[in-house]
Amino acid sequence: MRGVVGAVLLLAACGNYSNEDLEYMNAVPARVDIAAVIPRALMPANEAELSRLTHDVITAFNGALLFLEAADEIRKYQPTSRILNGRVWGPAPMEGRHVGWQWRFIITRDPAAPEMFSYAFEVQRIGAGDAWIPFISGTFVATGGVRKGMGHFRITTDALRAAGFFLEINVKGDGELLKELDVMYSTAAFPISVTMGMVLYTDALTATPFMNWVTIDYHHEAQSNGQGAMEFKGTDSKTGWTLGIESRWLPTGRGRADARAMDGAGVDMTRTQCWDDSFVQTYDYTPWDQPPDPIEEGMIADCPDISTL
Amino acid sequence: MGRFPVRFALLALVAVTATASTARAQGLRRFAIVAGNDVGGGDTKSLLYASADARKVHEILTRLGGVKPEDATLLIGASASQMLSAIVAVEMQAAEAARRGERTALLFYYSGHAKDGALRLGETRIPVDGIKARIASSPIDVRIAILDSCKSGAFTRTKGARKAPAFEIQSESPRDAKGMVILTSSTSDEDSQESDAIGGSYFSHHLASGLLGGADKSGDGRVTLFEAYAYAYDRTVADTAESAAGAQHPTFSYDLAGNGDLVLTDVAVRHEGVYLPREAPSGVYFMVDGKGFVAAEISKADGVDRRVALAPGRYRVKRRLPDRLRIGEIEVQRGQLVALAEARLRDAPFSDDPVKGAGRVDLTSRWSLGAGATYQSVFAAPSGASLFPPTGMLAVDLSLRNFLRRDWIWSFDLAAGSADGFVSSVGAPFRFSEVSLASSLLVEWPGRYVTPFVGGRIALLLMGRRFTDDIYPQQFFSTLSPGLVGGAAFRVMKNTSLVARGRLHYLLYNIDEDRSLGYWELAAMVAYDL
Repeated sequence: MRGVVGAVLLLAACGNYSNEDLEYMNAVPARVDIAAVIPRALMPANEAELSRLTHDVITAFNGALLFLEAADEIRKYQPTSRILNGRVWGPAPMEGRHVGWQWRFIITRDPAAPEMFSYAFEVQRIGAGDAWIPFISGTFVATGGVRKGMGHFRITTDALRAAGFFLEINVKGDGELLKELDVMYSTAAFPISVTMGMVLYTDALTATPFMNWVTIDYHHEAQSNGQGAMEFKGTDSKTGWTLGIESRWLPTGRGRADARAMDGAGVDMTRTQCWDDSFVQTYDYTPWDQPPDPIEEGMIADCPDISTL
Repeated sequence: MGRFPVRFALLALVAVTATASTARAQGLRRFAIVAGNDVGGGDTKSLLYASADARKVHEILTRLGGVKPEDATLLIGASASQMLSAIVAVEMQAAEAARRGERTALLFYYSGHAKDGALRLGETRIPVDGIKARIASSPIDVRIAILDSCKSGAFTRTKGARKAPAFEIQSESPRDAKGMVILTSSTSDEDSQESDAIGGSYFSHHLASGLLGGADKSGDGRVTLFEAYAYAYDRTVADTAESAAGAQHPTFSYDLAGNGDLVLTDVAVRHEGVYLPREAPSGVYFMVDGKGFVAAEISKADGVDRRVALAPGRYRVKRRLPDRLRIGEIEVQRGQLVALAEARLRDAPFSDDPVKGAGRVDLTSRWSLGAGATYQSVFAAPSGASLFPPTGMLAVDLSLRNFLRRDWIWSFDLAAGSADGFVSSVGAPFRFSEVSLASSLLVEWPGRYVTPFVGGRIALLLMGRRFTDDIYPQQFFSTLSPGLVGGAAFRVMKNTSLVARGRLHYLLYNIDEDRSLGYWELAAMVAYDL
């Protein structure tokens, strides 16, 4: 009798009401968690050049995180199945230019260290018996709070392209294609820290297979009040040129950037530019300028002191 | 107060009629068929006390009525064919006794539904005319049929039923009685009513009280058929006069040749029970048994004494005065007649009335509607609370009383509420919502002011939560949750009560893992009897 009652109760109990599901979902970063934010009002026509460049870098940085929107989308749904120490979304067929493919998203946790999660977004050609190809894979160590913790994820595209999976990723709209992306981040406490290494093919429109790529490194930090910093460094694999920019800004928008250029042959110069809350230049030092352009304009004392990051 | 069409009782008792002469009575072989059936088929509501009345009559007849246990057939919930088989069996036994030169009598008692000219025995029926003709033609010297059921007067109509006991049959005829007597609980157009307080139908209750000695008007220790009927008539009419269903008038019919009065019970022979001495104040004495039901209700007049042949046991005694009660306790031991002196009673307020329900209680099924607030919380905090936070709810319930059984409540309730919760492991605040739809089966003990109740409940719980800023998808969970209920209703107005209630429930949670969670719930309600 007790068994019958138990069976009835068990059959009657249903739903998706799960705290553990949340913990698994919590392991995948949301784009908004690690995207860089800089005040962006209506930009004046005379916006400081390095301010504009900082905005562009942040746009590229955030654009590289577009992949996470897939995770954001998946997070809207409950897991398809619950496995031992894991949750699975999918497999589900893909649409549009990916008809004939299916995706799945798996998150597992270490039973010995429940705060440690691993996840992978994979695709597979339907019915071909092919192996699942990793697209996004990552790890996360939860420290409490909504998606608070430290994590790393990696996006690779070469295997997907080799398998015939259509992948059109044009970060800058100029034909550059993503090769790899590595992101390490910590959202456990302020300042939030995000380090990104991005590799872009630069000859996607002219060469097959792609031969040249540029490696771009970003490091972004942000305080809770909106104060932030972005470091950017790009190296062209073909020319060896390196450009690095370190920008910092206050919550109001007022900021400073130091741009360093190296040609690989010994030339190493750094330009410093500061701007006010309207992003209009207040100071500029451009060592490679030639008269009649002034090498230095304004006073360095007018630059904000943003040394906390 | 009255419970009508609910109750039909046909007490057909063919029994023993003994003449007033003891010697003659000893020469009479008495048989009894006593039937009670609470169920009368799909178009009737279950009776509450038909079976209990039959058991009471059976006990009195075998203890005081000269019916040997082997000659008494008790039919509880029997079908029509079983009843007819019992009659056939008694006829065969009677015929055998007659061959041995014995005189025979049959007392046929039926308590149950009767409708559309038929006795209702569960889903089966026996036409009233048919059972009457069968008893009338039985080869038994004296047949007494007692029918306790609605409109049972139709049973006596052809024999000149009388609404009043306008008979004073005190024949001194030495001839042996032969023929048939019929008693019914009501006329052909009246309902027979039950009382919750006395735990039986008015008619059978007063008939039984009379047979126990209350009807011994002559004081000779023997209760005759006519004494019993007259007593039952007076008391039934008096008790039902103010009822919603109207006064109920028992009827009587007889067709006896050479009859003397017929002794039904001998309350003196066992010399046990309660003795009300001549000097005891007049009034109605209630003898309440250990279960709270009235075992006997004796109307005593000034200057007379009464023997009440109660079975051994402990009884509470009550006599009602205009401004108070006189109550006391007595214990009847086997073979002992206990005198109830007035000194053994004490004054008591009406609130101490030992008669259950402090008076006549309406046994009609009735609805009540309640509304109020509840608060529930799971036991397994904090993990349980991170799933199901403590929640306040608004609730309404609809209760049906005395439908399944006396003092049983079948209740349906609906509650809804919400609360804020927090999943600490991921730091996610959420809004929890719950709707519960439940049914309860309760037993209550009605009191004058306070009515406690306990029972079981099964609830369908529909729960969901929405996370702040929609950072996670909505979640839901539904489950069946069995539990226990207890509480009390405090009557504040005639039809209005305040209800305090507690619940303990089992909650099976099986999403992340199988977990047996429990929750408690407290409620304050206002209930109104419709």
